[in-house]
Amino acid sequence: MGGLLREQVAIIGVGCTRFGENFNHSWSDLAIEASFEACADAGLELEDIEAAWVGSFRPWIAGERNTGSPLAEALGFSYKPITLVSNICATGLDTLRNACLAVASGMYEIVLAIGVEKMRDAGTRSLSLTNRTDFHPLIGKGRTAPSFFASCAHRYFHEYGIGRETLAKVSVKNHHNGSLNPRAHIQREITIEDVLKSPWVAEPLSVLDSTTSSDGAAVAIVTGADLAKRFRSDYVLIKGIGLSVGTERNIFDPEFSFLSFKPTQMAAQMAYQQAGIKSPRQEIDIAEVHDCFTITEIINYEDLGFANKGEGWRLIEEDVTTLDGKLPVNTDGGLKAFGHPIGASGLRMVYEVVKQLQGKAGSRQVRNARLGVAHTLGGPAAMAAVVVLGSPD
Amino acid sequence: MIGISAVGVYLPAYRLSREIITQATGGISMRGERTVANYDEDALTMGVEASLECIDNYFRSWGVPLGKHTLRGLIFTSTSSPYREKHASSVISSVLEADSSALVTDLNGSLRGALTAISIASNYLKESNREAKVLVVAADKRQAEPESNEEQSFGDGAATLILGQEDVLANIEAHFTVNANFPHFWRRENDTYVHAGDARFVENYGYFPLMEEVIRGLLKKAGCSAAEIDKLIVYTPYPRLAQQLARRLGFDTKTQLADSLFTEIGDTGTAQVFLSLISVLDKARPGNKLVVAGYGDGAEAILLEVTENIQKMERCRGLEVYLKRRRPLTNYGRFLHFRDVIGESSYDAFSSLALLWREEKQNLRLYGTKCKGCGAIHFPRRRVCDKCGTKDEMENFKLTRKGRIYTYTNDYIYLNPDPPETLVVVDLENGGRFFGQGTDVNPGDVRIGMEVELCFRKLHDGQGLPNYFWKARPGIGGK
Repeated sequence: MGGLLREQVAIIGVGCTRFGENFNHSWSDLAIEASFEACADAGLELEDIEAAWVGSFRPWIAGERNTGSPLAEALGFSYKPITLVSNICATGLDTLRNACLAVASGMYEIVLAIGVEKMRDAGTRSLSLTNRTDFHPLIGKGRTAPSFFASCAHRYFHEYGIGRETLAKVSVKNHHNGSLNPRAHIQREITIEDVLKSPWVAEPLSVLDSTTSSDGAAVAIVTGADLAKRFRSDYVLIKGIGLSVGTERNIFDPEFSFLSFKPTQMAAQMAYQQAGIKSPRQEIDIAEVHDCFTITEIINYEDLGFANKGEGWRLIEEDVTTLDGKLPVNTDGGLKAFGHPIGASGLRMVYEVVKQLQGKAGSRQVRNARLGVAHTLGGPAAMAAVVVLGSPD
Repeated sequence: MIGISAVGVYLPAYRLSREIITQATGGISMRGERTVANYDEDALTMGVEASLECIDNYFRSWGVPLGKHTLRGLIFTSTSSPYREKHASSVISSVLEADSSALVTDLNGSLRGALTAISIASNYLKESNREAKVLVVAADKRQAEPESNEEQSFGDGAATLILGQEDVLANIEAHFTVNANFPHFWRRENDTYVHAGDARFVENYGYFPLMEEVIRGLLKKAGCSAAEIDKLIVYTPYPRLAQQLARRLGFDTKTQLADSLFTEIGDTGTAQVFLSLISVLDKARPGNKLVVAGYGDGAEAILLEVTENIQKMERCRGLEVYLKRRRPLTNYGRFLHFRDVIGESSYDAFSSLALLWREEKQNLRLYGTKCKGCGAIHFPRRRVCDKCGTKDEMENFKLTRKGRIYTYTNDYIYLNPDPPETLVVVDLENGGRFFGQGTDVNPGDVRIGMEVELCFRKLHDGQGLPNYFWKARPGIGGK
């Protein structure tokens, strides 16, 4: 499980662009917006930052290659250590993890973790395109991101007897939360009927079961916990952070159930152990989980220990995860409504959890939120990252 | 004496009614319907299907598998090979795991190829040991110009015969050839579509005289009269020609002329006489005499005599199973899309020649690995076991081509000329999992637990190569 990160590292500032079809913003514009907001939030200047980690699935959209240079170029933040992090949808939280490790090591005092993604300059099918041309020329050809999770949904229906209506409720909930969020890509309420009537993406998932393809960036500024107190009293502690990287070849494993994802379970185990969490369902106040598709949110409930295996769907049927439920999930709208710029999503979740813990989440504020979790899942459940964030005592 | 030891057929599932063509093109409709290869099928993949079935039938009939020591040759004959340069037979022989020293060759360019292949195979077998067998694969997916008569008359399909000296269902009693430089059908280097000569001319100066000459020559050589022949099996572009030919030769068209299957499937090119012969063998009795005549650049014919063994002939499925297995194409546009005439047929898919070469065993022959340490089966193949961590202690494990769907989806995003694309996760009968595309299936029929089998298909043309692999489809039926 690695060493204890517990309460050594803190977040003192966060920033996040509005997510959406930001055709008027370049990759650099997104990086600038989120970074300067975070600096202002922390009350420091960009030059105070000693090193940066930039998470991006496709940084070459910014005109550079797979390097740290796009960030240096965007921010004028040159000749400092910048490292590119890329782990598909787990990129954002892995970026934060690398920043945390750097501070915990004592090498740097103030660092920046940023996730940036430009999805909408690559055509409307950008998500599926990446899946259509990558991987092996033959084996598994035909796989798209939706088709993997759709296959999970069919098996889940078969095993546990639920149907599309239950999945639709996840989407309805997340759209409701998004409607309260001025930074969300989609800010409108929808009904179960809307989800059921919306066109297929991959059966049994429709357009309204699926995340959007959005542009956006999000930032967290990380320091040691002792230093954080000098910046603000409502800093947020990194209580635990875990990353588990498996293989996209799980889909060929005869033992793979398509019902639960080992990387999530492992990453959660790492993060919970560091944070001293024993009963996640009771202890955690709010969670941001990777709802790339509605079925994914339900499976995540189980893998993150919010529900027993095969019972994740009950949380949505019993309104446990709504804003006024016992364990609100995806309070900002989630990937579904807030949007999903791949490399930025993890840090967007961190942005929301920090705002919730600080009591600054406006009309979607959850009462007495002290401990929150963010979770991202990459590829066909090939990798996952989990972070536990808490208010200082 | 050399003869036929086993037979196999393959017809694609799609059918296009000739009326649907003329509704779109405005021409005069011929009767019936034609077979249409799915967008992921070509002459090579259909040839693989017919060959796998033929080898299965051989085993069923004779109780011994056709192995490296007995499968001594493979001749692929077609006018529509997916390769203009390079043999399709080498791909098929890789899938079938033929020995590298076997006779493996293509015989492309003439509709008569199936008969010429029999002649070459017979001569080769005379020089081989008595157990040797040669597989003759005839397959065609000919491209007809939209709105032409051939667009209606052509059909797609494949048939395979296994020839040998022992264990024969029908002996080849005589063989006769008439060569002629007569272009009835032709296609030049850069032509997309098959050309056909003026009908009155090519029928009266090509088809009738050449076919008459070859059949008369054959009968004379064998010392046989038309009356002694039980079935006359002749290549024919349209049923009318075969009937006129039979009458000219003194055959009774009602009792002696075999069905060319034109109404149900169309003119399947090089495969046509084999398919027609197989439909005859299904009902043949010992002692029956059959004439089989192919046409193209002259004509070529053989005389067959059915042996007592015909009663031992076991087949996993008869032709009627394929005739019943129909997926109607209700739309002419879809047909044109399948033929690459319109629409976006594929994207610029990644491929790698070196990678495909390294993985031939896995990709064409369906070999996974089995860990000697813990028994875990891996497909794709692995060097390090992901269950127990053992390194380089793997044995080859051949996947069975049958299994059940564990889960699936119908994907509307993936680019596919026959949308939606069905994606399936299949647990195979003897272990191992297949994750890939489904084909020849109605999306609404796909279910968890459904039985499927793996079939050989073209996935895409990445790096300018036909990239072949396996897909899952519902079982064709039969035993």
